[in-house]
Amino acid sequence: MILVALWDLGPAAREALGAAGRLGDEIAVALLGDPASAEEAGAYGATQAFVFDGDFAGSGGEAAIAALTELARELGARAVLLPRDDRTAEIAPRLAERLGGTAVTQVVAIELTDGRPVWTRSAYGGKALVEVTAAAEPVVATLTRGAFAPAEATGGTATVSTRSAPAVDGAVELLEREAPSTGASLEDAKVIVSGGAGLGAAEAFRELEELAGLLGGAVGASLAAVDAGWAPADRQVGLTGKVVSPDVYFAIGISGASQHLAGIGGAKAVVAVNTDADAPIFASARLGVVMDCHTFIRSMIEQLRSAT
Amino acid sequence: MYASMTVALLVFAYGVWRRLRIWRLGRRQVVWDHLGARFRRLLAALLQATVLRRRLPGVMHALVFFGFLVLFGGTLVVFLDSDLGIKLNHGAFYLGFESLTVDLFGGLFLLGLAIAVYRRYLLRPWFLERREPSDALLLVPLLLIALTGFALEGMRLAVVHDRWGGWSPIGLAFSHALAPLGRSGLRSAYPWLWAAHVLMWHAFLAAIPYTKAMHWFTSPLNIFFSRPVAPRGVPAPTDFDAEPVRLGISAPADMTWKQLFDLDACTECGRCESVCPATAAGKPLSPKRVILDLRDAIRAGGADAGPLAGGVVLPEALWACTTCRACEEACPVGIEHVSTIIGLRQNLAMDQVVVPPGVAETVTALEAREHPFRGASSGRTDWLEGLEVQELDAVEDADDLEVVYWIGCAAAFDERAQQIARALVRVLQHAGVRFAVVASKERCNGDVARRTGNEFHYDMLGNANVEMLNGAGVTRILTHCPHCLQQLRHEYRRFGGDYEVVHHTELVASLIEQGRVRLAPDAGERVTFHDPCYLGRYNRQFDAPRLVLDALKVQRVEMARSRGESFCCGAGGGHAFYEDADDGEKINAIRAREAAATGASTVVTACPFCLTMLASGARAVSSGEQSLRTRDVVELVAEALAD
Amino acid sequence: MHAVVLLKEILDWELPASKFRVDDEAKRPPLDLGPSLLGPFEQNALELALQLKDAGVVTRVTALLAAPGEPVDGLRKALALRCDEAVQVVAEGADAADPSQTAELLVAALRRLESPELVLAGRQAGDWDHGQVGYLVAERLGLPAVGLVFRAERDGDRLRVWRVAPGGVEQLGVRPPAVLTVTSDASLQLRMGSVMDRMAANKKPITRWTVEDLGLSPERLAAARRLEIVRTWAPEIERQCEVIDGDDPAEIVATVLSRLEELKLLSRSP
Repeated sequence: MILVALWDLGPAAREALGAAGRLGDEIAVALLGDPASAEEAGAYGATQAFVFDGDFAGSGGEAAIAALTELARELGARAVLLPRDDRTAEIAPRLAERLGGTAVTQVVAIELTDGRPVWTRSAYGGKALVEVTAAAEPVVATLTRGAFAPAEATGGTATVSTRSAPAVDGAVELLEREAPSTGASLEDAKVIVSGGAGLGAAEAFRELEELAGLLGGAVGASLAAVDAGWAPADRQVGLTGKVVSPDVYFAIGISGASQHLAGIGGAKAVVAVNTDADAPIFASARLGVVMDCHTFIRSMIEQLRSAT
Repeated sequence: MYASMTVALLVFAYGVWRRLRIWRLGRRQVVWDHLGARFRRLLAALLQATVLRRRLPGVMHALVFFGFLVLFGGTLVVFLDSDLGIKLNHGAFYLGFESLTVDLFGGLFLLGLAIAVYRRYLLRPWFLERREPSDALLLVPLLLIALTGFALEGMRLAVVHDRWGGWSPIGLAFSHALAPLGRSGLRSAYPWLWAAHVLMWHAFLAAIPYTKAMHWFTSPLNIFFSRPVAPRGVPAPTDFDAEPVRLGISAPADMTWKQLFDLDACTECGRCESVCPATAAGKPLSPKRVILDLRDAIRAGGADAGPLAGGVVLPEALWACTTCRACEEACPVGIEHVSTIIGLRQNLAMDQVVVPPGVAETVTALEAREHPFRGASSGRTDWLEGLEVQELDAVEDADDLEVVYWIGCAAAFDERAQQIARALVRVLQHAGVRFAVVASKERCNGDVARRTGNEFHYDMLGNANVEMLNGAGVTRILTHCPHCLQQLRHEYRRFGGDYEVVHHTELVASLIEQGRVRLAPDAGERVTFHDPCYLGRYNRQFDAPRLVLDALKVQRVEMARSRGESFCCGAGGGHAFYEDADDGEKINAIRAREAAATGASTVVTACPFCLTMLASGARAVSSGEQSLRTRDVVELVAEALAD
Repeated sequence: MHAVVLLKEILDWELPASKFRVDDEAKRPPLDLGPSLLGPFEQNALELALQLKDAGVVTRVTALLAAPGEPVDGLRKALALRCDEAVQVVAEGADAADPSQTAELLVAALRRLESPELVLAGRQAGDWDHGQVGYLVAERLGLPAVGLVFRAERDGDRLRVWRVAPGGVEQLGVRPPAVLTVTSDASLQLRMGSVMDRMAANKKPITRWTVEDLGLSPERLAAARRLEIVRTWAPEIERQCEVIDGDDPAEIVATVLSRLEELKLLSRSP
């Protein structure tokens, strides 16, 4: 049995289900977020779906870990797959530890060798790929966005069971949740305009927001821009920030450190705008423009405005 | 009269003693080397060459200076003649000097003072320090002393009807003006006026050490004391083995005596401020304020004044300095602002750790990777790809090399600067120069660390580089970077590094002259040359790049500020790697606009950092059609090679 | 409160991808590929610990590092920044690429250190990028953990922490003892120490504990291993960028927009 833990049945979830399919085993889905989509899980290959009464957000990761531990034990899961995001980053290792298994993070490929899964994960800020096997089962793996083909919808159905979320001791308690710093979520955005050190100042990010608004997209930032305090931490795209997969990713004034490139591998097309024609970002770009960032942003805003 | 003179001299001596006590707080600094050069500078200054670089204030100063000297001489003659009985005052000397010359110079003195009043109270240049009533208290007594002097002369002429009165034309004019008072009136007023004249002078004399009139003595001395030859702009050495170790300037005792003396040499003229790029860009730095604030704080607080770094002089001001030395170049009295500013920075960086974010990151990066280019996407030898260049390690006979090419971090890690290195290699190969590159063995020269006050890190880098170069037996070095030049040529001496170092513009100029570089230039392009501070003001090399440009048959035009007066690109003092408080226009944009104003299509420079700054400055000021290209000199040479 | 910061030195993470190589035999980059430096998130964790000490929330900071040999950068830096103590677990016989073995060593050392109430770790070490050690330590010590924290304050008898979460920032209350993993933020740039502190740090001792000192048998350490590396390689980066050139910025931007529309990646018409 392969357990896939999901928040909803969005694109990341379908990729995780696609990856689960590669393990050649029965698939169960644990829906920790939106219970309404449980029925749908069957269409993507799951035979069982579990939904939960109760709240997972109020205790940090504690309740989710407890619920998944219980469920994975019960199902005797060989592997637990989770889409890699800011929440599963803290769930996976602890879940693996409680199950006496192995966590494998940042997985980008899965192969079966003699029936045994070999996990390929990225390391060294995306500069290296590593194939690993786990010494202890179950494996709890977090899957990188954009690395796996999403599961296709079929006519299958899953049996849905409802469980109650386990009580946890309350050592961690949610006090407040701050809305994301700008409207659209990076993970789901079709267009992302991202700024880096080349923008030179925080003000430039306000222009980026206007541009993102005109394109119906979201604003991202490189680590350098976040470290400079121009953009909030939750806007950071890259290996240690959000891993995104938009249709178009505008990298404006971003030189293209491997750290950053590791977060945009899922983009269908990268448009690189940089004054430095030799910036490594161009190597990963579909379209390249050697131009002053501000000129580009301003001209883009003007043209989009006049079009509407 | 002698009683008041004695009192005046005592008060004067006390004032000097108080100043002296401050100067004696300072650390050792040698000012007795290069005596010939020092005396030449002093002579030039006394002949008013330095002040005359600015016309109106220069003329004003020269009039007052020479006027005063002659008047003083006239007084001295009277003293020798009547009090010491050395009879000089008769015949032709009396008429020619004591009457005519003194009278005319007295007039010039008055004219000078009038210009001073006009400039200070009507023209009011923005950079001129204004402190009332002390400014007026300096000018008005001098005016009154001169006027009473003329009045006394006039009274004497009116009373005695001297037939040689025509030899004192201004005195004669006064005598005509005073004549209506009648002989007896003049007779009775004379001693009173004379007493007033003498007492005013004595009071003034006594006040000198307490006012900026002190510069009469301190300024010429300071010019003598200031460094007449390169290296300039270098901070006082730090001894990290000392116990306790002195980390930059926090108290007056942390300064050298010359740095303390600088403070008392200042005439508050504001020329430094008027040329400072940080001031021009609206940053919170004025070199004049640094000097005056230190002076006032130390006069008030003595040895306990402080903390000087961060207290008396604010961190934002200190971090705004680009160490371009325009202030020192403009200063007519030899004040060396930069070493003091770096000394203060050293205290901020090494002791208080009050640094702009970019400085901390750069220094951390320097320590980790031995180069300041964070996030560089290339290694030290990437730029060599495809070039047939040998590394020093691979050279069998190092003595056979004409020169060892030191690349510097900019060309190693900055893609734009790599093109300079590649162009220079092409030129060297064209000329058949036998050379090797240091490349993979190089570390940052440490200039960024040193100029941002991080002497500790500078020390590590400098020592390591010298050890490597000396170990490889390197004696003759070529560099295209003026910051590397400054370090390798001058500042590495303290680590035992003694090399003959040439800047690439110097080498290329001589290769052209020797006919080893053959050019086939396309004539006619209009270019202007930007003097890098560390090549020009620091190393006084203004001509080599211009000779090269002229050999290229370009139409060379000069910017409004060039050569010694060149305006910084904004990168110096570590600014290539950090942003500081700035609300106004960026320094590089100001410079790029100045370059564009010449009508040149290309601004040429000879420093990788200037190149980067000017390129982004040019982008900031470019207006659609008019775009300004930026090139290193050697790139133009490489394009024009005859092959 | 006594805080322990878990440090690690890693291969310079700014090493350009073009310079990155893997030793096929050792299945990892060769040691001489670049300098070994205190990792970026470890720097953030150290800075957070120092800030908590400045704020009086933490009274003592211990820097703890598990590595073979004599690592130079991390612990000296920690002492130079006024950490109270520096401890190295001389990790002979453990694989730094295995997060479980590393955690085993750190747990043993943490048990030996006097009652740490707060353990701070980087969100992930920038070499192997596992992002596991902090959480494994928490589990094995039975402590609660909060990940991706970038700010912390005292809030009564607990800590209020700010952390990055999907869809924004969460503020959580955590009752110590606890483990926090720390992510980067502008406010967590590691400070630069004074030269005086740095020179003093060179004279301070570094406590070194061997695996035996910690009472860990080689068998137990071997049993802690979870990951077997089959192969490591540096992926090729391909170049297929279409550079859009021109004289007029407006024209270039227009071309970019129309190219994206042609590629059916962007639609401007409603």
